[in-house]
Amino acid sequence: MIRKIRILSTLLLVLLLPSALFALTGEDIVRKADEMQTFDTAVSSGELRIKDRFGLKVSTFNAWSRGADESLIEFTSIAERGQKILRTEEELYLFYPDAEELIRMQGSALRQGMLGSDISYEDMTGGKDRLSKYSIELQGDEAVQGRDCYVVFMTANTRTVPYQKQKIWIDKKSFLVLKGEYYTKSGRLLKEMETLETREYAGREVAIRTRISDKMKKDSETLMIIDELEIDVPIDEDKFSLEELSW
Amino acid sequence: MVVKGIRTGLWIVLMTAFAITSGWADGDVSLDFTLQNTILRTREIEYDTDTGEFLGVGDQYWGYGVSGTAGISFKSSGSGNTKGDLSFDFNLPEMEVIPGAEAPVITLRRAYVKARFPGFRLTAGKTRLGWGDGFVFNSGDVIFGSTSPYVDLTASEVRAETKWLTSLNIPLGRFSFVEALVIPPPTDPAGGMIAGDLTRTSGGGRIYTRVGNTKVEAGYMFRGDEEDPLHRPYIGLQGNFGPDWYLAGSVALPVRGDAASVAEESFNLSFGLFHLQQLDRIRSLSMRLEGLVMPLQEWEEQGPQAAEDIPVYGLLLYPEIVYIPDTSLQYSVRGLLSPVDLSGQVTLGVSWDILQGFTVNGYLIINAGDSRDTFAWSRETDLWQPQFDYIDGLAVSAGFNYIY
Repeated sequence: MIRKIRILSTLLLVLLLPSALFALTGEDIVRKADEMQTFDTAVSSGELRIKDRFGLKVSTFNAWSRGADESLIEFTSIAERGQKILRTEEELYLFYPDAEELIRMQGSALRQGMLGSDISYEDMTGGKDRLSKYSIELQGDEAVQGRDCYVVFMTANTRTVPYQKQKIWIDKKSFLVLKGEYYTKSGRLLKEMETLETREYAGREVAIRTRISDKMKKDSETLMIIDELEIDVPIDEDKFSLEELSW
Repeated sequence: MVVKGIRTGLWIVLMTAFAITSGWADGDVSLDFTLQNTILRTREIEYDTDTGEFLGVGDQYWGYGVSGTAGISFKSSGSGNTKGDLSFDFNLPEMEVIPGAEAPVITLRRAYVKARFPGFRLTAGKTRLGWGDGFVFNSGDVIFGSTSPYVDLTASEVRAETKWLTSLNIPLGRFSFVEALVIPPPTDPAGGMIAGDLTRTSGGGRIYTRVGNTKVEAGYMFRGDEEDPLHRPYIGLQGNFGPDWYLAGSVALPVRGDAASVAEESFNLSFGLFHLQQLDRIRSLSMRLEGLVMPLQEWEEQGPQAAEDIPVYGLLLYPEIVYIPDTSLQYSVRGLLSPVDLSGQVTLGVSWDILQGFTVNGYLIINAGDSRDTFAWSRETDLWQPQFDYIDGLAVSAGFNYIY
C-alpha cells in the first residue's frame, strides 16, 4: 500500500512539475506585456476623441518613437496645429509655433496627460516600465471579450504614477492589455480602459482603438484611435532633435 | 485716418489674394477670434484732439467695453522644406483709447517664410524669436524685452510682439544650435527716410546647448533701434531639482556715453520655478514663481510726484497657480507683485473649453496698493500712464476665444 502511494505521488509530481516550472508569475506577465508593447521604432498617426456632455472634441496627431524613451508628437488639428512635443528619457521639449518658443521641461511634466486627455505620453510612445513602479500580484484568470486573460493587480510603490492601484486583464496569447481599472489609493474606481480593436503588426498584436471612460463623470470618455502604424521602420536619429521639433 | 484705413484694407485684400493664388490655397487657413466684455473702474482720459497727445485724466467712473481681436492665418507647408505663415489681427474697438481710431485697427501679426537647407535653416519676415526662459519676466529676451510688470494676464500670449527680421539657425547636434539674426533699422517715411539708417541695424546671435543636465543659452544683441544704440549680452540657464528652474541675466551697455550708469540702470536677473503636480492622468496643479531682480535699482519705497519720476524697484514677482480639474476646465490665480512698495495686481481666471475650438473665459482683476505705488487701487491722477493704467483698481471680464 505504502509503495503504491509512493508511486502515485511520484507520478503526480512528474505530471505537475512542468506546469509548476513554467507557470508565469505576475512579474513575468507584466514584463512580457511591457516588452510586447515596446517597439524599436514606430511611426503612427491617429486621433484623440474626447467626449463629454457638451459634445465631442477631436485632436489629430502624427507620432514617431524610438525605444521606450524617445518620441516626437506633432498635433495636426486646427486648434493645436504645429505644436510639437519632443520627449527624451529625462526631458520634455515643447514648441509653440506662433510664439516661436522652445520650452524645456523635466520632472513631473513627463507624466502629464496628452492634450489634457487620459492618454499619457508613455501610452503614445509604447515605452512602458511598470515593474519598477508597481508591486505585482497575479489574481487569477478571467475571460474578456471571449479571450482568456491573466488578472493582475498592481499597487504603486512610488507616488510619481497617475494611479496608485490598477487591475489589468492581459490576454494570455498576445500579452496585450484588454481591460484595465484604475483606482485611488483608497480603492475608489476612477477610470476604466477597454481595448476595442486590435491589429497585428510585425507578429505583435497592437491596440488601435482604446476607450478610457471616466467613472467619476457621466458621459465622459476618451477614445484613442491609431489610423496608421508602422513598426520597426528606420527613423533618422535627427528626427528626435530640436531642429525637427522647431521646424 | 480713413484713407489710411482704406489703404490698409486694400493691402490686406491684395496680400490675401496673392497668398491664396500663390499656393496658400493648398495650405491651412485658421481663424482665431477673441471677444471680451469688460466692466471696469477707470478714468476719463483727455487727449489733444489735433495731435492725439495725452493731456491727463479726469473723473473716475465705471465703464463697460467690448474688446477683442479677430486673426486670420494662412499657413503653408510647401515641399516639406519650406513653410510660410501670413496672419492678421483685426483689433476691435478697444478700451485703450486710440485717438481718432473709430474703425477697427488692422495689424500684420506674422508674415514669414522658412526654408530648410542641408545644415542650416533660414527664416525671413515678420515673426518672433523666443530667447531665454520666462512666462512674464525673462531677462534673456533682449530682442523684445520682457521686464515690464504691466502685462495683460488675460491674454492667451503674454508676450506676443513680432518684428521684421532675418534669422539663420545652424544645428550643432540634436540638442544644440547657434542662431544669428538681423533686424532692419526703423524707417521714418514722414521724415523722408524710406529705408532705415544702416548704422541703426540691429543684430546678434545666441548659442543654445546642454552642459550636463543644465540647458545653457548665451547670446548678444546689438540694439541699433534704441535712441542710444546698445550692446545687450545675456545668459540663461535651465534645469531641474524637483521643480524646473530657470535663470537669466542681462545688461545694456551703450555704444557711446556713460556705460557705468546705463549698466547700473539696466542690469537685471530673472528667475523662475515651475512644478506640475499631476493629481491623476487629468487633474493637475501647476505652480510657478517668477521674479525679476534689478539689484542696482531702488530697494526703498519712493513717492513719485509725476509719471516721469515713477521709480524702477529692485524686485518684482509673478506667482501663479493653475488647477485643471478635468479635460476642459481651468482655474487660475496669477499675481504681479511689487514687494518693495507692497503693491500688487491679482488676476483670478476661469477658462472652460466647452466646445471644439470654443473656450469661454472669465477674469477678475484687482489692484492693491497706495495711489503712488507700482499697482494702485486708485491711481494718483498725475501718475496716470494711459498705456498701462486703463484699469483703475478693479475689472471684471468675460468672453470667449474661438479657433477654427
